[in-house]
Amino acid sequence: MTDRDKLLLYVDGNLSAEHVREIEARIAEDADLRAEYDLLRHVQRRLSQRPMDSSPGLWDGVQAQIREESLWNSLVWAGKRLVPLAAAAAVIFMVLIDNGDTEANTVSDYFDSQTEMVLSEVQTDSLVIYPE
Amino acid sequence: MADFDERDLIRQCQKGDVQAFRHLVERYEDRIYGLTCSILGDPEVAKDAAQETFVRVYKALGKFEGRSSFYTYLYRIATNVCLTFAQREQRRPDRISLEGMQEASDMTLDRFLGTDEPQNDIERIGLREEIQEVLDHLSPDHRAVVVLKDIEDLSQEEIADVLDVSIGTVKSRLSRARARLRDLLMPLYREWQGEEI
Repeated sequence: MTDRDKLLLYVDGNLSAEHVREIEARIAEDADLRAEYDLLRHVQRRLSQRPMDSSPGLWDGVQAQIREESLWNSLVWAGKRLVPLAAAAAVIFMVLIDNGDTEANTVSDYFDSQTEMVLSEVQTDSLVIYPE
Repeated sequence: MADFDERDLIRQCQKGDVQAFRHLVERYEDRIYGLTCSILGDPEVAKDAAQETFVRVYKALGKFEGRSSFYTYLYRIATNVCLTFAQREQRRPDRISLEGMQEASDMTLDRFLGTDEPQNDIERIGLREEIQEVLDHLSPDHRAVVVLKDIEDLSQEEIADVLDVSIGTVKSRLSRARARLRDLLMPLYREWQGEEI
């Protein structure tokens, strides 16, 4: 590890005690290293002086967003429950319709078959009774 | 007492008391907005990020068990929101390149190195802009650790907790961020030192 690398750790207190003594001695004797150290400390100091930002007042926006998302979530919640219900209702409806149709078909099929049978008997009888 | 009030407010929020949550927002909004401003730079984007932070906190508060302090918990969510926003901003095609920005901001950085502690509002606004110029030269990950350490004055353990990374990662990011700032500012610092002599 170079002196410059050690310096980067030193300014944040991340250098081991053994290396601390070493880098402090190097800072004292090397002008370039001292300039880098001064700069890094200067940056830390300037950043710590950053003035506090006053919030522009967040509550109204937060509240509006919470309400909006709550409404959306309610719709999603309702949707998740309504869709299966609607699907179940649709299936029941279809089954009822289908049953109705089946019954109707059965009845109509029955009458159709009966009619056909009677007609064919009549026609056969006619042929027998009134041969040409 | 302040801690008790806070715990009480959190309990009320967890029971669905919106007014209690309003008190929490009002208590922390300046600090959270300050944090989002420092990491994101743009006040409008920072406001959106701060607002998003509180909305996420509201939604997740039911799961908050108090294992970390509420403040650390808030910072964790705010920093995550900022990093997401920063990634989104970086993908924007109209974003100016760092290299171009560096040339344009040499004068600002020069002031950053030379200005004394601000005495009035105008100087304070100037200092805020200068600090932001410096931070803008760091990647969002590196900016976050520098902001949390130097501006928010968190310990490295707290930063690790907030960012959900190891202390080793915090140290490594800090070191790389400082190296970046050193490389950027050193030529100007030498000039400034020369003028001072």
